[in-house]
Amino acid sequence: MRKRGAFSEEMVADGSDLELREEAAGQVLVVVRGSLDFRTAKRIRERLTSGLSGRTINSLTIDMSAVGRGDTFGLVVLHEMKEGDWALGIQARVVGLHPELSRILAAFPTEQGSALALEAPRPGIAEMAGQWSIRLARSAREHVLFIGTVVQALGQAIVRPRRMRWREVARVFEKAGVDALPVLSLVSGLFGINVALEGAQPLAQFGAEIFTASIIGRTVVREMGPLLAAFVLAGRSGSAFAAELGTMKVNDELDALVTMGLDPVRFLVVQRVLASTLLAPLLAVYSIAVGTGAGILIMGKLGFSPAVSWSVLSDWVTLKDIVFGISKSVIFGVAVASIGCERGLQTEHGASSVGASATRAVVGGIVLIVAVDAMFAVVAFALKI
Amino acid sequence: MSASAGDDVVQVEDVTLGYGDVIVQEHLSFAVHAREVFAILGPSGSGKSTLLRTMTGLYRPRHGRILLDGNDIYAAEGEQRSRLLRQFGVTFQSGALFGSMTLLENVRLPIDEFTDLDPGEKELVALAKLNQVGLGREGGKMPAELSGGMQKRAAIARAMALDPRVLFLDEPSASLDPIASSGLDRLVRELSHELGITIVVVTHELGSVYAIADRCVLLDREARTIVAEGRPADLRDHSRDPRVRRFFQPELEPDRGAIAL
Repeated sequence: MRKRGAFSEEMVADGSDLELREEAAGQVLVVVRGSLDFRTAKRIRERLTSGLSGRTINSLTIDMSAVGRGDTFGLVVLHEMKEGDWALGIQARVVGLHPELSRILAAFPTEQGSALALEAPRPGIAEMAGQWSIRLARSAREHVLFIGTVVQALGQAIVRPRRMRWREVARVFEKAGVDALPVLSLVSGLFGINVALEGAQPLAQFGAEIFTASIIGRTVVREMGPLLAAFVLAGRSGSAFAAELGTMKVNDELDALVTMGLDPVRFLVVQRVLASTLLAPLLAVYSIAVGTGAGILIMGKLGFSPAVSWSVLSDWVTLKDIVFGISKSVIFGVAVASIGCERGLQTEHGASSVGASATRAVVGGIVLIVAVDAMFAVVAFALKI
Repeated sequence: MSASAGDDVVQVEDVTLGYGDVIVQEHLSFAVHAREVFAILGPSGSGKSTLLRTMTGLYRPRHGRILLDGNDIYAAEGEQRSRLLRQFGVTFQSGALFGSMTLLENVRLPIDEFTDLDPGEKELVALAKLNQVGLGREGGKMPAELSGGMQKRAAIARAMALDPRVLFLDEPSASLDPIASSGLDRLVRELSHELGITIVVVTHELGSVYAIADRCVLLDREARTIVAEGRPADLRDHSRDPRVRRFFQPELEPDRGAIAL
């Protein structure tokens, strides 16, 4: 049974208690004693809510003069009561607060949310599609411009070869080329084996198992050799270019180059693009060799001697196919290196954006490779190459 | 205002620091009193930052103990240790803000992990912390968008997120311009005087030592131990020890680096 006057007084938690008093009709005084910190805050609020609910309250005063200890997590409750964002909806008056605690209380934002940018309204599907198209078009335009700049710088390098940093080209050649051979051998060899195994079964139904060799030749030379070489280049080197240049950008090294009067494209990008343009066809030839070799090996297991397999394969693969595959890979090399370098130069701030640039370089590289490959396929079909 | 022994918050007891076979400092003993700003001074390479990392639970000392309110932080294990370390707020020389998060998210991270407030209240607390360091309006920004001084302030806000007993600052004014640096000194003083936070600061900037520190210890590289302890201005004006004079008044004391005329 509550009396008028002091209608509840209870221990809230270790060392703190709470007293609620109705001074006059609708005027409530709350006296907090002990501590208002992360241990006691929750219970103090629960007590207040249950003690005050159902009463008509016109004014609420909180006397904090008996509080000896407090922290930010306790004072957040006091702040909410003071601001009236509390279930009761009354703005409490706080009295007797220790100066140090009132400094903490004063630090809470008074108009909540004003400190932060409000969330923008979500755009509709049409709007998003539009924005996406604009972004795509803009990025395509930027990429074309970037390739133009690179070609220009490449031209200057050919006109004045002494100004080119050939040692850097050699370094990229080693890193992106020689070091890539083990993984390229693995994927190309496995692919050759796959084609032989997959092709042999349906052809065996027509007694045409020997023509598996021609399938191996056509797919590996025209498509998969150049593609696998380009994918390996994109995964290993396109990402590395983006990360290298991105790190330099984040560390202000690119700005340092510019202030020295050096153009980052001429100084860093041209070497990488040149090296991978020369590398991609070499890697493609290597991939083709390993892929056909592995395929012929499997043919041997199916009962065809290497000489027989080779003669069938060479009947079906002409010089035209080889030129087609290799010329594709030159374009793949340009695409992978240029998108890697471009993403690197577009890196924004911080370590995480370097990672993002490397990812974008790989994804962009793969998309570009497949798109270029599709264009080659359409042209070859139309011209019956 | 010398504090009594009961006011010791952090005690360093006969601590030896070292890497591999190298002993960097030994026989270090001192106490940090409640509500003071305590500076650890010394020339480059004297092991100041190593001492700070040892005091904050990152490097176990070769010998000796670090006590927080009488509890040995390296003797505690598991949850008990984590609870002790949570009473420390630490900022690093580089700021060490998480670059992929906004300032508000950086400050909210420890609050999210270690408190059970409502989401709205967590936000309020984080904003209050940013307000305390004067960055209340920058909460939505990424660390990379801020100046060096603002990053240091934000790092202090994050270190204060859980209302630590002790705030450790490693070279707070390193690589800052004089204005940002004196602004940071002012902030440290405010946090100490107005909020009563105990602060341990590592620095070699004399100007900021006089501005903020109540007491200090001076580590020496050759002696490999503490060569002076007291109020910075007293050490500057009254010490007869040439090593102390060389540190506090480099312009007066001819040393090996100077050219004899």
